[in-house]
Amino acid sequence: MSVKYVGVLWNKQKKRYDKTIALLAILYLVLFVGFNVLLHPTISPEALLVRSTATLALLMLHVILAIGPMARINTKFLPLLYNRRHLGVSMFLVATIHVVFSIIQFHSLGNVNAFVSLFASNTHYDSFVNFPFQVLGFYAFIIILLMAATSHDFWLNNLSPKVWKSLHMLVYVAYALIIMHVMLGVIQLEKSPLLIGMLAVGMLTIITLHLVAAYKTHRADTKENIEEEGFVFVSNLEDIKPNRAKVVTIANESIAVFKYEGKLSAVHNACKHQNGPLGEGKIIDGCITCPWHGYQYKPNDGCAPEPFTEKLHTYDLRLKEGKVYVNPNPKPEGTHIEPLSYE
Amino acid sequence: MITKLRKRHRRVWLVIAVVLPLLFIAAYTSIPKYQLQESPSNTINESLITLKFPMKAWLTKSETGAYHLGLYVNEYESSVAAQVYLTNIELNDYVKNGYLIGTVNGAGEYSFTVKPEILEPHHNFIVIYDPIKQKQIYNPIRVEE
Amino acid sequence: MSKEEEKDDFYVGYIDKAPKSISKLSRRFVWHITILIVLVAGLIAIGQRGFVNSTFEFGNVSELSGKIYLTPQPFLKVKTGKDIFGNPLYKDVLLIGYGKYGAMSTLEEIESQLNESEIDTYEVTLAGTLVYYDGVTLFELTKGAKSLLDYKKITRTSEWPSNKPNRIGNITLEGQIVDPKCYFGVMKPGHSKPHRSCAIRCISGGIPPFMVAKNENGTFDYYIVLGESGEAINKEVLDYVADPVKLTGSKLKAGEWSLIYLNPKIDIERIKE
Repeated sequence: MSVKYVGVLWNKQKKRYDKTIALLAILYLVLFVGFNVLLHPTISPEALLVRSTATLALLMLHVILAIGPMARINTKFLPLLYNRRHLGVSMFLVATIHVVFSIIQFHSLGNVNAFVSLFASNTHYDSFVNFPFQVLGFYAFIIILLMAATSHDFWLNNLSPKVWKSLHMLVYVAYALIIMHVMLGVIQLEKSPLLIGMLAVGMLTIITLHLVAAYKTHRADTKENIEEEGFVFVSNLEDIKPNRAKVVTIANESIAVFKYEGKLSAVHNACKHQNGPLGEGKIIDGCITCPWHGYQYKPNDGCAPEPFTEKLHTYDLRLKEGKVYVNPNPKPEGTHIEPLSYE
Repeated sequence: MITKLRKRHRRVWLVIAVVLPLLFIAAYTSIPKYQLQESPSNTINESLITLKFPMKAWLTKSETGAYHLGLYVNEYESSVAAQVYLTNIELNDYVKNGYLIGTVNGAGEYSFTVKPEILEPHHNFIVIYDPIKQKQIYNPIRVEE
Repeated sequence: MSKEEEKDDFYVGYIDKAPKSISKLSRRFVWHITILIVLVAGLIAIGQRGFVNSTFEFGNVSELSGKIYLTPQPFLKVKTGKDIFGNPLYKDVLLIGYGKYGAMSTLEEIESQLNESEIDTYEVTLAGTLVYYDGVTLFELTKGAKSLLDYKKITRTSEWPSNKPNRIGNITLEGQIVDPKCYFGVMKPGHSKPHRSCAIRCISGGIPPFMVAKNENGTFDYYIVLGESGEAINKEVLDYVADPVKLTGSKLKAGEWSLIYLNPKIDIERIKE
């Protein structure tokens, strides 16, 4: 959105979000250390460090992966999504402590380089149960490292939102790798049903949330369209709430039709920032505002207000007997279309 | 999210929803049943598992008339080395003034031959002492007859 | 704000104040996460199997005096007193190097500082870090060649028993091959799968492999694993480290050490379930 890049655009909400993350992370570490010292007085500081950071990072990853589908199921959760990247980077920092310390602890000061040792000590790559589980964790860490390194909008724009989103979808691969890192690693010794059960509950929760969210949006995406003279039915006029939109999906492209100040306008449903669903946004101060990160566009021409330069496709609309129709052929990005008055 | 991205998410999660739980179960079922069950307290013999004590000592006289001191170390206190003294704990400096009868290395059962002349009436406590750290480990325990 | 608009709350991250209904939900979410955090931290602590009372005196350098023996594996014999029968008592302390190395290369460096003759003809005082658990004590020569603090030629050789291994008989052991440095204190846990890579690194660095086997009393016996003529077979056992294994071989005793001599090609078997 900004024309030049600043480290991070701090604002009150972000600061509150980050403060909450830091406090909760510290709370977890204090509790983990406290409970363990109480229950296991012979635990070593190294084991405490490795296990507290491992479990905290895994817990954070579960929260991170739950936020997306939760926001799709109930848009009231969107504030959690807004700064999700901060949670991701925090998780990366915690995981870094775990990874760096584990590599030092288990692989350094030996007769080969620590990284060679990581890959070459356990050579049972052909076995499932004896697979070198540390390697799984390391690959997951590389993915998270790449994500954290490219988390800033500078990278989002330079890699294009498409490449960036694909790269960041690798977090699902990282998640699977981490689950197996735990199952083929520490769980092979710490086989308490309590620990295995907790991990299973976490995994099933994440999977269920994603499937429910996917099912919900899939239904909306595959609704059959009613076509009339090249125009596609969107919604009854009265069903669109003021300053809000209805979305129609035609041949994999979504169009958002907004109702505001007695007028109707249609734009492409994908925000230029991260492909956020503009149709779930709202008109604020006369501008379409993206629900994800608040990027704004003027509804009549799809242009971001000055000095920003993002532009959306716009679409022709038609109103007939209280029914709204859209022409699915997009106008070039930023094309002004006179809003359709209905009053 | 745009439709394409949603589709990709849906496909990815359908795959994960099938594959990951399967791998999870496979890993769970391959946990080795044969494991080192070391625990902070090494528990000896089935019959003694229920007893909560770090050590037990008793005296026996064999048919030949020789005396043996039996010792069970149930929970082995971490130490650099461990020596066994028979002593009278009412004495000052009862370790130095006791009789050094042998060493122990870890949890387990031990038997020490003792001379009858050291079996004085009040020398009826076992003390374990770490000669390298120069400190007593465990509390003294009374020898059972 | 009209009633309808009020219901239609919308969150924009860069506006300082979030709508009430939305911030309420966020706050409730944070509370749920807080409860989750307490539960997860507590349940993980409860779910762990526990940690042994082994000790690695990291950062604390001790001094030990005695005679270095190079077989079956380098160790220091420390005099600890005499028992009521006048028999000298000793503690055998396994020597290991700094990091994931055996003691051999450090001992060679130390030997080069001595006046021509061999290291095992001296009574030495060494500096190092103690590692101990379940009756077994190890001494890490943390300072490398500088670990040698003092030495004097042994004049009365009778004070130091020979440490020739005595054959006890044939034996079959079930258990796990571990690296003693981690098992007896440096790591918790220092065995089984989570620790495999590290154990492989330690053993390939010259730390003698130990077999941990449960005996009929339910406690553990520890054996140094050696080849058929007592030679080191670190490389040959690497593939079996941290797996449940069965060893068949000869049992020997050398001072406090129990040894198992075996042919690594045929006498090590993975325990299948």
